[in-house]
Amino acid sequence: MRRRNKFIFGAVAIVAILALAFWGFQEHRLRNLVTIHAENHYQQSFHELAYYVDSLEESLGMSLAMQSRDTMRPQLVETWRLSALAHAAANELPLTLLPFNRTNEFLAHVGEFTYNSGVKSSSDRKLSGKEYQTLQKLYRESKTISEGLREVQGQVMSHHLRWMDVEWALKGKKQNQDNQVIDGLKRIDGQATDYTQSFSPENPRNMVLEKKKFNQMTGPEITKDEAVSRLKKWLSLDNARVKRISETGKGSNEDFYDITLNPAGGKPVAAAVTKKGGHVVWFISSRNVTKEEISLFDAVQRSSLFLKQHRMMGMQLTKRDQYQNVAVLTYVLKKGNVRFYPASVKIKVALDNGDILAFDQTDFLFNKSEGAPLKPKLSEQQVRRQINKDLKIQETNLAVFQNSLLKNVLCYEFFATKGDNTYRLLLNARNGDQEKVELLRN
Amino acid sequence: MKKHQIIHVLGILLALSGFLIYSEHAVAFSSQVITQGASGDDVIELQSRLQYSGFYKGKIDGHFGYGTYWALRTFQEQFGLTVDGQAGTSTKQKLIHASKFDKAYIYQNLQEGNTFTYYGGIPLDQQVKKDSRKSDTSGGGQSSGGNKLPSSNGKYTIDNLPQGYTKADVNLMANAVYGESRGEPYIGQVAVSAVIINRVADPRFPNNISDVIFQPGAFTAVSDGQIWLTPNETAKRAVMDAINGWDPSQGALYYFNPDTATSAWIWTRPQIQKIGKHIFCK
Repeated sequence: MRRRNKFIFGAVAIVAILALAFWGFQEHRLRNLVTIHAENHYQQSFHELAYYVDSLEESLGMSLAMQSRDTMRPQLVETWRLSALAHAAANELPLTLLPFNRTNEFLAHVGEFTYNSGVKSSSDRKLSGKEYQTLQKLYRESKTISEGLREVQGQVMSHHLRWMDVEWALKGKKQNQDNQVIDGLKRIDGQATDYTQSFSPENPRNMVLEKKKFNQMTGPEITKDEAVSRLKKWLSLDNARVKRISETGKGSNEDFYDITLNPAGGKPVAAAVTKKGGHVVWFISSRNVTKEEISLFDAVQRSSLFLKQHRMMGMQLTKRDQYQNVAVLTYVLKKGNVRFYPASVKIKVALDNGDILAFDQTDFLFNKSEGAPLKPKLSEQQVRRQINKDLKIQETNLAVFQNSLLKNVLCYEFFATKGDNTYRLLLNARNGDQEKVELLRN
Repeated sequence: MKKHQIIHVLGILLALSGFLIYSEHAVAFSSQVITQGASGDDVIELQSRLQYSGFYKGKIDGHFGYGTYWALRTFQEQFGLTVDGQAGTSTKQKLIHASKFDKAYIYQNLQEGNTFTYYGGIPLDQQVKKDSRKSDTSGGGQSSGGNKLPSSNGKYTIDNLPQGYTKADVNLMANAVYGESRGEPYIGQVAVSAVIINRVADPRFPNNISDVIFQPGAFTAVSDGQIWLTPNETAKRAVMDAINGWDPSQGALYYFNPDTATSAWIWTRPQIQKIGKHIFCK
């Protein structure tokens, strides 16, 4: 009897162990499958990147041999396409935590240059000496990068290196340990540095960086206490308590005090005040609005009153948006009869009681005193001729607009319709170039 | 038998016309001035009336966009009103005189997600195309401006998204922001949203929202699957603020939690400021 019991117990135990082993094996197999799948994806992206940079080098080299822009154009367009593909492949790799930035930056430069000289430019003139030099520089650079990539590729292939290991290495603290892939890529990056720094004075051409740099801050430096009292006065929140105040570090383009106020009986309001001059650049209240009591029209009146109270004159309302019980209104500076789009102010109004919930004048402070021509060279009629006859022009303005080269250009702004669609066309008022066409949503 | 049918039809017609007359008098605009960018009931009525009188050919969706704006201007021009593209008292009165508004018809079709028009002089049953696959607002799709369903309490889910953003972008960002920073103060959530947008603008990163979010290793919430939690309203509000241009991160491209960050490299980035638990840097 006891022996039989023992036997049954043993059998159950064996079955359990076998089942566990089988389950474990299945799990292991599944995990392997997933890892291999991820690894294959990384491998594919890396080889793609290497291939596209190779082709890019070839394409840049070929365009160097061509003289007129017209013959060069197809080659430049091809280069542009390849740079986009290479950029996409690079972004599939687990390199966010690695200073692989500069390879990406190089690809962005190539893309930008080929787009502006090959795709966008409408004239048939020869490439200027400066453009040709840039092209040569880009070509030299592409050679270095493609050689470096090929070297890493060789190592990956011959040593069976896995990108999954790179990912683990980057995630863990083992970054400084020996990892041939990471080392190889870091080397490419080091070489690219020399090039990038010689490229232009405003390097890196980081839109975010450039956009948020204030150059016209006026007034004396202020202290923390002054910043707080200015903010309270600006917000008409005299009784608010200071919840937090800090100063921005060296990564910031401008020195700010970051202040969070706790108004009596209200939600916290966060704001940034410049050290120089004590300008309130933006503020945001975290209050949630659950009801809609006033109309968008009323909200507009509240916001213009707010602007008036803070002595911001000559602003024109160009955009109204309403969603989730709030209104967001965009004003731009008007210089004479010209809309100065880069100098804009945004105001968010609560639609329950009309409070101003948020305000932002970053772009306004940065751009308000930027120079730009305000007198058009071409007449409206001359520019109009370039517009498709099927479009019905509804409205025309003069406007200064920041184009893709980050230059302020004076444009004729046309609002035109075709069928149900409304378009905004910005045509250069000096040479008639098409700066931007926008299909406005409904 | 035939007689019976005729009487039946007549009865329905009578009932319908009575309903029409009734609804026309019962509903009219609220007292607000309707301007471009607005959304809601008044806009639905405005669009319907403009369409009835043949000025508006777009979709009746309750969003006062450019289509409605030009239509209203043309209407004002033809009726000798001040052409300002907004519907004040006199414009609304002229509209009410010049057109009809069948509220029941419009709202039923909006609710059912049908494709429909409301032109005067054409029988209504010829102006509706039923939507067989029950339209779904939560899906990706082409952002706002499309016809959205009014929910049962009469509120509209019309989101006015800034140019260049789709509803799918906003949802995805809300997911990422919630997964990354749900315990953070509101301003910290706006800052995280702003970092995503700053990366899209930066040439060193992918140039669209989804690629930035799913870039391998970029966000921990993506790596550990927390991005698929359901975001709350706060996260969505934070995303909308960032999309509309607010950037409490002051142009940051990275952020990290100093208590849990494992990468040595991230400490070498120039820091901008600390918000909540996150340090934001370039």
